[in-house]
Formats: sequence, structure tokens, C-alpha cells
Amino acid sequence: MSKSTDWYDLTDGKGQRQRVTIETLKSAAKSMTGSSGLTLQVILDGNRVEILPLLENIASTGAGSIPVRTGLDVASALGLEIFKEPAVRTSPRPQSLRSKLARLPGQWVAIREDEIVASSKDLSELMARVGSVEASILFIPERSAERRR
Amino acid sequence: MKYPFERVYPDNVYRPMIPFRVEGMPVGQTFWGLVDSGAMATTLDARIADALRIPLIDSAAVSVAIGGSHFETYLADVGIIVGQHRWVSEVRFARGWSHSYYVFGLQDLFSLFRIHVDASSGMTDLAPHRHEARITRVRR
Repeated sequence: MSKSTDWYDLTDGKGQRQRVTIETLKSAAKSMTGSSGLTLQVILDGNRVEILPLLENIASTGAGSIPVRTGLDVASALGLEIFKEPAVRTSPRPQSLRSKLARLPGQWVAIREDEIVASSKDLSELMARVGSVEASILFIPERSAERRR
Repeated sequence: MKYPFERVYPDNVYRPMIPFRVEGMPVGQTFWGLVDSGAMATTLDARIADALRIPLIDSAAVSVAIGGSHFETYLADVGIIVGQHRWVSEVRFARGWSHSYYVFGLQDLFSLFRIHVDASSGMTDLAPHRHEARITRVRR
């Protein structure tokens, strides 16, 4: 697998920049024990490892402080293969989220980890309310406008 | 950069989507863009331009057909950020856009990156062309 880059800059708990490389990940992996939820796994040295706890270790931040999106960015920057359970592709998004989104036609919605963070008919207002929180921004089409490309 | 296929509401199908930012929007917030070799231009909702105060000139509107629908579109140069890569794109902003995601086409993403879409593994791999001067690296 070809690497896209050799490093990724991560901001630690003190606001300092920590350079993440394959070597720092390997070093962090050696000092880690146990599992914290199997949220995002990558292939490192032929082994499946959870990347978020490794990044939390490198950044000296608490459990759950590194969002999945950052883990994906680090994996992309370092050219790490993301391990994906076959079932993940076909497992449905939690029905509750789809149901909630279906009740917001014509609105802009901010979603983080399958939860609606905020919604508004005004995109600029939504952006301001969400601020620096990591979130995907979607416009929920009116039902009559839904169509497949 | 590798991205797993994503299913974006209300779609029930996993597609080659990538998260991206438009320069000017808060760091951390992203939209979804479909990597679409059947499209030419990068197309975004004109309300994104409105929200970010990107001027769109009414007299420069061009009517185009996208996905079987007609839209009034306006061109504007804006910064696009994917991962830690930024470039200035000539974006087509469409009034009346009714999808929850946007489109990256041949004139932009495909000319800047080598793109490999693997439907069997459900992964999209982007690597910037060597010596591509239009791409700069950004810190998150």
C-alpha cells in the first residue's frame, strides 16, 4: 500500500502539536493494553489495532476525546488501511436517526456519530450554533424532491 | 487518503463519498461530496455560498441539467479542503439543489488527485498528483 504522507499533526491536551507517524503509533501500541470500544480499527504492522486510544495516548488526552473523523484523517494521511467488518457495509444506520432525519425535511442538520447535534432552516445559523464541534452537515430534502442520481 | 464508502441520508446505498470543507466554514464541520467521474464540475448548493458570503452574480447565471433536473448555476472560485489538502476550485453553485450531498467531477478532483474507487472493498483512495502546485497542505 502506498503512503499518502508520512505524518499527521495532532493537537494534544495542552494545545501543543504532536506529530503522528507510523513509528509513534507503533510505540503507543506497545504501551497500550485492553480495548476501549472497537470504534475504528486500522492495520498496523499486520495487526488490527484501535487507532483512537493510540492517538489519545500520543496526545495525552482522555478516553473519547479524539473523534472518529480525526482517526480517519490520520489513517488517510499515513496510508493505513482501515479494517472494516463485512457486516458494516450492510448494517443499517440506526433506524432512530433515519426516523429523526425524516422529520426534518427542508432543514439543515448537523450530525455527529449518528446523533443530531443541531438543526435549522438557515445554514449560516446552523454553522454558528455548531461552532467548532466536528459534525457532518446535511440538507434534508423535501420528500417530493428525494430522488436517486 | 482512504475513505470508506458512505451512505448519506436519504440514500440507502453506500457510495464513494468524501468529507470536505469549503474555506470559511467552521473547522470541524464537513459536507459530503460524491466522487463522480460522470460529472464535469464541482457542484455545490448555492445556499452554501450565501451562508459563507461568497458573492454570486445573477447576471452570470447559467442553466444546466444535472441528474435529470435543471438548475440555475453560478461560478465562483472557492477554497476546498479535503483532509489536510486545500485547493482553489471553480465551483458551480446551483440554486434549488435538493440533494443532501454534492458532486466532485472530472474538472477538479479528478484532475488534482489519482483516484481509485474500489466497490468490492467499499473504499475510495485519493492521492495528490506529484508536483501538483495547486494543492497546499493545511493544518486542521
